[in-house]
Amino acid sequence: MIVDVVIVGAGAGGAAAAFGLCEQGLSVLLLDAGPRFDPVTDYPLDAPGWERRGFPAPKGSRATIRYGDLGDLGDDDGLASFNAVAGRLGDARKRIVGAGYSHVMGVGGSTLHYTGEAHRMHPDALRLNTLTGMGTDWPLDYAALEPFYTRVEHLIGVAGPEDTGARWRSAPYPLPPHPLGPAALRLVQAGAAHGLTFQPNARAALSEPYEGRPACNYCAQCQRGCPLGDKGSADVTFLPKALATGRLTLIADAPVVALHTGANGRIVALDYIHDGARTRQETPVLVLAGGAVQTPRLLLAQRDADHPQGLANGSGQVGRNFMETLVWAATGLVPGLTGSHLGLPADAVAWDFNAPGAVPGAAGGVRFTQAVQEMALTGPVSYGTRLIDGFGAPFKARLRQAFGSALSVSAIAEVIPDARSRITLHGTETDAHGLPLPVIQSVLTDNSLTLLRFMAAKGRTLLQSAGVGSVLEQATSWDMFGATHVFGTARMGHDAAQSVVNDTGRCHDHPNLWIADASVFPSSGGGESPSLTIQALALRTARAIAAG
Amino acid sequence: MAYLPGRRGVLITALSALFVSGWAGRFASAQQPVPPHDPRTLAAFLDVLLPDDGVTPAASALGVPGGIEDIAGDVEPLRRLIALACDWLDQVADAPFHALADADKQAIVAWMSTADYNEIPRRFYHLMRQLAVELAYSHATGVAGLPLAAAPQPMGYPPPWG
Repeated sequence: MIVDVVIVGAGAGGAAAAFGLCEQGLSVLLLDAGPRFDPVTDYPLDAPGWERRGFPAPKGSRATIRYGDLGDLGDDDGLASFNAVAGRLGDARKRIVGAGYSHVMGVGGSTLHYTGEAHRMHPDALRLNTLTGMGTDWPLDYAALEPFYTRVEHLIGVAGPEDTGARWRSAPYPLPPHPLGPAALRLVQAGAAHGLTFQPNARAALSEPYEGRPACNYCAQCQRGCPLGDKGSADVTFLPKALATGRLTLIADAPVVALHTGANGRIVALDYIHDGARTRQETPVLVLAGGAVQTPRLLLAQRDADHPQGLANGSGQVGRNFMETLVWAATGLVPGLTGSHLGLPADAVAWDFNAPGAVPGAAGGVRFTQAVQEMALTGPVSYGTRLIDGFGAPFKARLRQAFGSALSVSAIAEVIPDARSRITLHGTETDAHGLPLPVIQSVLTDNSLTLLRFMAAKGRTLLQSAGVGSVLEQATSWDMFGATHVFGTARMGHDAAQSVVNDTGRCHDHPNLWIADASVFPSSGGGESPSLTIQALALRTARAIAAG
Repeated sequence: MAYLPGRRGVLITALSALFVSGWAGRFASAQQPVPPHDPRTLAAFLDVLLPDDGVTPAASALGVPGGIEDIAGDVEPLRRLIALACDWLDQVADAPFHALADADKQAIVAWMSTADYNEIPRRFYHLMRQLAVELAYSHATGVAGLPLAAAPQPMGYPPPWG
C-alpha cells in the first residue's frame, strides 16, 4: 500500500491527526493494536445487570503492563484509601497498583471510556517553570494552541459555559452548557463559602443534536461507553470525518512490532501484525500516537547498533518525565439530598486553584469536580458494596433510604516530573509478538504530597459544608496508583538535548517521525483533562506535516 | 463484636479460633480437591444477608446462589472458601445452618460480620456479601423501591431533576 503517512494508534491524537492530514489531501494508513467496538452491541446499557458491566475488555483491547517502584508510604495524614464496607483498601507500607493504567486499545482508544471533559490548558500552566521554578515550560504558548482548540471543539461538539476565565476564546463553544444536576447544585452552594466557584464543565457530550448525532439523554454512564454517540469519542467524530474524505485506510487489530530506519535518520518502514501475518509497510512519514506508555515503549524497544538507547532518544529523555494522574476523591451521604445520581458526569468544575502557584507551598494547580457519576454511584450495587454496610432487612432499608443522597467530589492536580518516574522495558517479559513489556515506575514527590493534603483538606471541608456527616469513601493516589491521564515520556521542547520532539511534534532525531499523543506534554497541567489538548496539538502536527 | 449471640454466640466464639485455624490450613492447601458443600447452606446464608423484606425478594429467589456458584466455577480459591465456610456453618451449631431457627442464623452471621478479616468466617461473609449485593441488585426486580429504571438506556434520565 502506498500512502503519504502512517499513524500508529487510533485514539485521541491519532484520530485527530488522521483527520487533519486527510482534510489537507494526504493519504493515511491508520493502524491500531486493538479492536473496533460497536456501541450498540458492546455497551449494553439497556438491559438489567448494566451495573455489573464496565467498559468491555475484548481480546487485544488492554495492554499488559508491569509496575516497578511506586513508592513507599510515609505518615498517613488521613490520605489512605478506604470505604465503609471494605475498610482500608491499600497497603500500610507501600503504594500499590489500584486501578493501574486505565486505558483502551482500539479504534477510538481511551476516548471510548473517557468521561469527555474537554478542557483547555490554563495559559499559565504552559509556563510552569517560569512562574514557579519547578517543572518545565512548554515550547509554545496558549495563543499558538487557541485556534486549534476552537477547531477541535467544533469538530467534536463541545458544550461549555460562556465564562471561561483565563482561558480566553476566539469563538464561543459550539453548544450551550449542560444543566447542572442535584449533586452539582449542592456543590455550587457549598463551594461559595470556601473559595470554590463551581460552574458548568466543558464537556464533549452534546447538549443539543449536532451534525447528525443526538443530544445526550443523561444516562450518566459515559465511562461504560456511549451507545447513543453523543459523547465526542474519536470513533464518532474524527474518524468518520476522516473516512469521508476517502483518503483514510483504517486497520484495527494491527499491533506495530518494529520500526525500520534508513539514511539520515529517516524511518523508512514499519512492521505490523494483522490476521496472523506480518506486514512490512513503507512510509514517507510516521506518526506515533499510542499514548505515554506505548509510544515510549515502541521507541525504546527499537535498540540497535546505531540507536543503542532506542529511536528518537539521543536526548535520553524517551520514557522519562512520566507523570501520572494525581487524584483525591471522597464521598459521603447528605441527608435530604435526592437524585444525586442524576445529571451528566463531571457536570461542574471549580478552577479557582488551577493556576500554577494557586496552592500554598506547591507548584502547579488543582481542579475540583462533582464526581458522583464518575465514582459510579449511579446504581444500588455501588452503594451496597462501598457505602452501606451491614446485612439483612435493615441493610436493604438503609440502602433504599440512602440511594440518591451520595455526594462525591474529586480533585486532580499537577505532577512535577521526577527522575524515578519513568517508563522502562521489562528485562525478560515480552508480549506475544516479542516486544518487551512496558514497566511503569511512578513515585509521589513532596510537591505531590503537598497537593494531596490540600486537595483532601479542601475537599473534606467542602463536603462537610454541603451536609456530609462523615466521609464513607476516599480514593487517593497516596496509597494506590490509578491513572487515566499519563504524560511526558517523549516531551516537546526547543532543546534537542532535553526533549524528544519540537513544538510541532517532530522528533529531533528523525525528520519524518512525529508524535501526537500525551507523551509530548512537558507538564501535566493543574488537573485539566488532556484529550482536547492532545487533539489540538495533533491538528497542529498535521498542519506542520502537510506543510512539509 | 456488635452483637452477642447468646449461648450459640458463646459457642461460636469459643470454637472459632480452633476451627478457623484448622480450616485455614486446609484452605491454603491447593493440592487437596475442593470438598463438596451443601447448597442449602449457601442459599440459607445468602438469604440471611439479603432476605425478602416485602419490597424485594430474598437472594435465593433472585438466583443469587446459582450466580455465585457460576462465578466460583472459574475461581478455585473461591470454591474452596465456599466449601470450607459452608462446612464451618454446618458444624458451628447443633444442626446444619439451613435447619437453624432464624434468630440463630442471624446471630451467627452477625458474629461473622465482625470477626477477624483474616479468618475464614469474616472473609466468607465479606466476599459473599459483595457478590450477593452485586447479583441481587443487578436483577430486574432487585431495584424495586429505588428511583431507577431497570436500565439507564434507552430512556436515560433527562431533566428536570428537581
